[in-house]
Amino acid sequence: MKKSELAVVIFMLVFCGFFYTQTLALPKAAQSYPLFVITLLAVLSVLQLIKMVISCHGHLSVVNDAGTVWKDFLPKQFFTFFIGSILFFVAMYLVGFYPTALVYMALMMKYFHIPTKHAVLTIVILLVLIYGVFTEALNVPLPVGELLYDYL
Amino acid sequence: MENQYALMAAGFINALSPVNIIIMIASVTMGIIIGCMPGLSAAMGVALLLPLTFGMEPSSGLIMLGGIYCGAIFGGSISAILIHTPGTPASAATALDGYALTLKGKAGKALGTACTASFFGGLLSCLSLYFFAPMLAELAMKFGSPEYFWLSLFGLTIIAGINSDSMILGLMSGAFGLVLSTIGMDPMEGVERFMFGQDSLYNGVNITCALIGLFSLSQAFILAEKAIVKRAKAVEFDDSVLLSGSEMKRITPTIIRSWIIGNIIGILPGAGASIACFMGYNEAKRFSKHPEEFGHGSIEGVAGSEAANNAVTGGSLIPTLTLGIPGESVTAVLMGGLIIHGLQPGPELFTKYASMTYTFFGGFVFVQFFMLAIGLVGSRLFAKIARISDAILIPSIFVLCVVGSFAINNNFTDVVIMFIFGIIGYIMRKVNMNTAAVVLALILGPLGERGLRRSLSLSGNDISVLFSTPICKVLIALSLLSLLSPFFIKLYKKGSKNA
Repeated sequence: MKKSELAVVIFMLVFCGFFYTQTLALPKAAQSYPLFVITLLAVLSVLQLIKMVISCHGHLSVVNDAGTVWKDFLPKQFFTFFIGSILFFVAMYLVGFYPTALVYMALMMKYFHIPTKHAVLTIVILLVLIYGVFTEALNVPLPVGELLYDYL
Repeated sequence: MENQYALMAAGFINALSPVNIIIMIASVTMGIIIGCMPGLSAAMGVALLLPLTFGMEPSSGLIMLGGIYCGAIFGGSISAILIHTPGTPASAATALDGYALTLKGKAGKALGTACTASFFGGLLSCLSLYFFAPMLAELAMKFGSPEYFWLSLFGLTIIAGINSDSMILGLMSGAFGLVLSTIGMDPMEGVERFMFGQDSLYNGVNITCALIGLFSLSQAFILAEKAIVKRAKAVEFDDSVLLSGSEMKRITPTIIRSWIIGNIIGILPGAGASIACFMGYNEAKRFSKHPEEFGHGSIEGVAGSEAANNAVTGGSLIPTLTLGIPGESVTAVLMGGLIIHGLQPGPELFTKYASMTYTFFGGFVFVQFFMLAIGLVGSRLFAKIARISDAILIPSIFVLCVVGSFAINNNFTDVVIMFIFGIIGYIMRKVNMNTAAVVLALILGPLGERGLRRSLSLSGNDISVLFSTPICKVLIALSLLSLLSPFFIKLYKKGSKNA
């Protein structure tokens, strides 16, 4: 059986277990429906496990399929983007959306080696578009940032 | 009936308001741009641009989403024809003959055929939308609580069963979504469920956040994990995109056949445009007087595929709007858009909100005309846009995801929820689970829960109430049938491969 499929089954069963314990804290009348869907997910997860065991044809072993699941995966590039995204949230909270978006886009484009002309054009178009649509047309008060809030 | 004609006429007039015309032009253009970029899907585009509809009238918002949907399905053919890379899976069959025509120096002809066939496929599919949707809505009027419970299960079995490699994994995705749909206030008892102290979860997981995360942000993660590939240069072409009379005559029977195929596939929830394009292509080859040209540059091949995939659009809206069971991920996102505007799919759309619905239908018809015009005029420009690097798309998609999710309630929690769903969507895609089933479960879960609990409450917890009416029995039978449908599709794919 594939390691990734086994991981999914284990995750789902743990997920069911977590929600099951949370359900027990609810009043009796409110427990029935969540228990129904949690049981459904647990039964399907067990069925998937049985299917995986049957497909082993008697040779029960776990095959590491990480090479297939993570084929062509570039950890450095992916985590740069992922951590950059989390930093974006922090910066957006502190200094506001527009300065954060400007710096984030510029740094990401620099990281991806986008020619400066294309990068500037993209940033300008995107930010003008967001300003026009969200700030002006939809009146969305995009975060100005906790640090700048008192000054604006 | 007369009233319906009056509503149809009023719908056409309302759809032609200056605001709606601007919306149609903008949405079709955005849809084509999204569709022609390999790696971006129609569902991703509709989810990403959903927040733009917040300030609009519901009918205008829906016209916009419909325009993006149709534009994206057609847009996929541009990159399929010019750079041999289908922009969306719905254009995979178009690449077979479209690119062969390009190699022969007939790229303009291929694009013209794709555009014309998409136009007629989409336009004719509107006929069935006008004809079948009110009929099915009338049937839905007979639905009570037990029927709604089975209907929600039916919807889940369809999308979970069809869209994943493993049916159990698909059903697990749906059940996972059902558990997530229980987050929030209990609809009958009024107690907090799994809210973990977050007041913003009072009304449950926000559908828009989930949509943007599962479809758009997860796509950015998928793009970010792989090496940035430089796209092939689009072929320059100078032949006309307009078809001659004899060419039109040649592709007309193919368009009609593909329209019927695409429409039926669209109405039957689950299959979608990616299957329709191959079925349309295969049937075009089977009935063609020149089957030997297929694979070497046949305009009938391009027309067969494109008319079929665009005919799916109108057809797939029928079960979505009348019963609330979207057959594929794009219509699941569209249904999310409907709910965001405070509308519930079902008979009310054809009674209480009939004016809005027929305005949307009217707009959907005009969208096809704009698609034809914009497609023919702008194909050269779109071909250049199709080459935009993933390196530009990745941060741009992320920033739009953040703005879109923030704009829902102007709060930061929604952005965090969107990000969590982005991670969930990414991991689910890595392990071949079905993100559309999660969205559908989030939408249908509360409907099914209310149906089940009301039925049991009114019958004094007598479970036989769930099997009491003929409609319940039909829905149970359809659910069982949809669980078996992956086997039929596998058989069909095997058969067409052997052929």
